[in-house]
Amino acid sequence: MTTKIYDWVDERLGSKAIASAFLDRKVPRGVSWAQTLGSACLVLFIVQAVTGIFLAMNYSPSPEHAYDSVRFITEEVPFGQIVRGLHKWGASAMVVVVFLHMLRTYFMGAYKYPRELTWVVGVLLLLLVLGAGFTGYLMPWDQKAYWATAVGTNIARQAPLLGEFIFKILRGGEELGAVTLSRFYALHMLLIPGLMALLIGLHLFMVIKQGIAAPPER
Amino acid sequence: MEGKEEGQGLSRRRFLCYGLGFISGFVSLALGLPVIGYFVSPALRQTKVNWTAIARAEEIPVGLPTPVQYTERAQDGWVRSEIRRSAWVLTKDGKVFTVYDPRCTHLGCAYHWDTQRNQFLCPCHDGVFDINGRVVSGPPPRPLDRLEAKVEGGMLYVGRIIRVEV
Repeated sequence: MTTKIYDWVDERLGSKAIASAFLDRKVPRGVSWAQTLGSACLVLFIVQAVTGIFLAMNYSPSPEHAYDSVRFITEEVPFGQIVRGLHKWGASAMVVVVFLHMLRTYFMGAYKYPRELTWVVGVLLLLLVLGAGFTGYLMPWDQKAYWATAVGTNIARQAPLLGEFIFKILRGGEELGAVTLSRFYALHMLLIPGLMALLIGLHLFMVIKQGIAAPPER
Repeated sequence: MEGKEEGQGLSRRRFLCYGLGFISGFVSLALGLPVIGYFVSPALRQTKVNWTAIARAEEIPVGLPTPVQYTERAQDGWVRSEIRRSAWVLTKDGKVFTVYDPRCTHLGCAYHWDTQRNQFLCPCHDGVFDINGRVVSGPPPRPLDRLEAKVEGGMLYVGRIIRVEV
């Protein structure tokens, strides 16, 4: 039955060739768990996206309601505690795994010719992940969230020349308030995941096209 | 090195494909079930009846429709609010209570009890209801709506709105 479906789609879209390019690709000798970190990042991104979508169904990004909506999710929505927990711990896991992936790429020299662009896109993705972490942290609008954001934006303010400018752009003004919360929500939900999806697509395309880099000889 | 025995069926490739499928399926289920439960839960939840206390049963004079003002505590998600409402309460024996929704069934105006005529009169379009809520004359299309009512511990409570047919 399933083979019939695959055949039907393949006749129209050549999907078998695409699946084969992914599943049957040649892989250098010596690859091991280290080379799985990239896929781990992708899985975590998907977990974050899916749990984030469902959390967004019950979250309200305004100072009056943010805290209560999060409490509602955690205490009253069935499985809310699990979905929120996945999202919160998934975020930390993602930062850790992204760093590990970057470190192993660096120490194995996999960023060298011809993979320079893959590395650059990867760094952009790292920055986006950190941005998602920073913006997402404000969402519960509790003491920890508020003050972490206050400190973080004040640190940005210290930058020479552009500090004030960046500070106001981040906060949406002088104050850390309603405007900041909606701004961060839009960044966290729309801009950052959107950009990440595009860049991940690009990153994956390049990785598959060029093949996994051979690990260095011992 | 030992050669692999050529047997029936399962090639290495097939085995790995199944293994990958099982593990992906398991992980998807483990993550997906809570998420789907979360998403679907509003449809499966029974809306619990909110009983609101509106008056002490002994305060309602027998045989006379009495207007009662009360505050309903409502919860919409995480938002709690207090809504001022009113109702007309009637009892024929002090034990069984009929509570009418205060909105005329024509277009929602507030009607009142007229002691001279012994009828509920609506000022908007001259709708008239008798003491049982049935339409006597005027444009209202159906009898007065009622609220579920019960007496517990001397307090009169109201619940959901009931539409009265006929």
